[in-house]
Amino acid sequence: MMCDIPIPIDDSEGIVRAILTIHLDPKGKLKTNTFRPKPGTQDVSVMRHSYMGSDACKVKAKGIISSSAKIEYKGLAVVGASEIRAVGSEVTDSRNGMGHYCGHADISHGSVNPPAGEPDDPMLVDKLRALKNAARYYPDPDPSNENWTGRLIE
Amino acid sequence: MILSHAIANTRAEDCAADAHQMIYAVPHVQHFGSRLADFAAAREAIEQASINESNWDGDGALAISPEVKANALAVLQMIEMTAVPAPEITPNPNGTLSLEWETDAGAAQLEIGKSLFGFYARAQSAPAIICSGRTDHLNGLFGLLVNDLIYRKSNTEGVTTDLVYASDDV
Repeated sequence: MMCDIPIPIDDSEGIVRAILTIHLDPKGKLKTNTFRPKPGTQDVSVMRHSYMGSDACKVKAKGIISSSAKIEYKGLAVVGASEIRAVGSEVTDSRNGMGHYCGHADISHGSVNPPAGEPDDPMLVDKLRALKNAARYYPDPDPSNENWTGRLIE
Repeated sequence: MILSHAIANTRAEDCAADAHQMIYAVPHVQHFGSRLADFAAAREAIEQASINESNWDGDGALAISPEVKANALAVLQMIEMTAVPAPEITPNPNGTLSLEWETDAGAAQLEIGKSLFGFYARAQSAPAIICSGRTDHLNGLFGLLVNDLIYRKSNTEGVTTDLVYASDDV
């Protein structure tokens, strides 16, 4: 299927991360692991909200949850592409990645991948905290609804 | 007290003990109320976060292994003996568990793996304290360090340090 989103990501774009139960502390605030990379990579899956819109981002966010896990979808967090770059990370389009879709992107932190089951470089925490603090969290008031019914994401 | 040392240390206990001594050697404040309950909740959180299946976050996360869970429970028991409040428990995509603390004065995180740990602490406006090493070298002194750094705000004011610990046995 044709993807008409430009591949370069402009600094002005809003980048969305799906927020799950594990990303929130008991007060409902984002935790440092919100932008932790996938195992074996330094990449974090995100969505190009400026092109996809809130409804499509929600559909994809809900779609990643494993039915057997005790992890629930809770909402969306948005961070500017410029804010990602300001902390020394990069965000790039990754529509052609395995199982990815038009609008999928990856944040890359550029640090060394740890062995499976072992910790990341502790210095990465600085970037993770900076991104967490820059991100605006939008709780989903009605997760079962097919559409986004929460506050306007901007 | 101004610190401007850069120290390389190869043992976790030395890392925590040295950093703790260099920051402030002071009596610790007792945390009252529900501290016991908070630690019980943290143990329960480790149990719940120890997810046996992979891809639990829908993005390729590794399962949290029994070794990681056992290491995290052991560390929690050690730091419970100190004055630091109970941490938040967070499962990470690489199959590790993090013990996390955050206050207005700063943040600290102890990430526990199968055989290694990574420690990060930063008081506001001070450089980060970084340490890594083997999990069997961990001890409760990390709890003392976290307590002094981010729960005793007045004691960290004016402290500047560029302590960087790098274990060469990892």
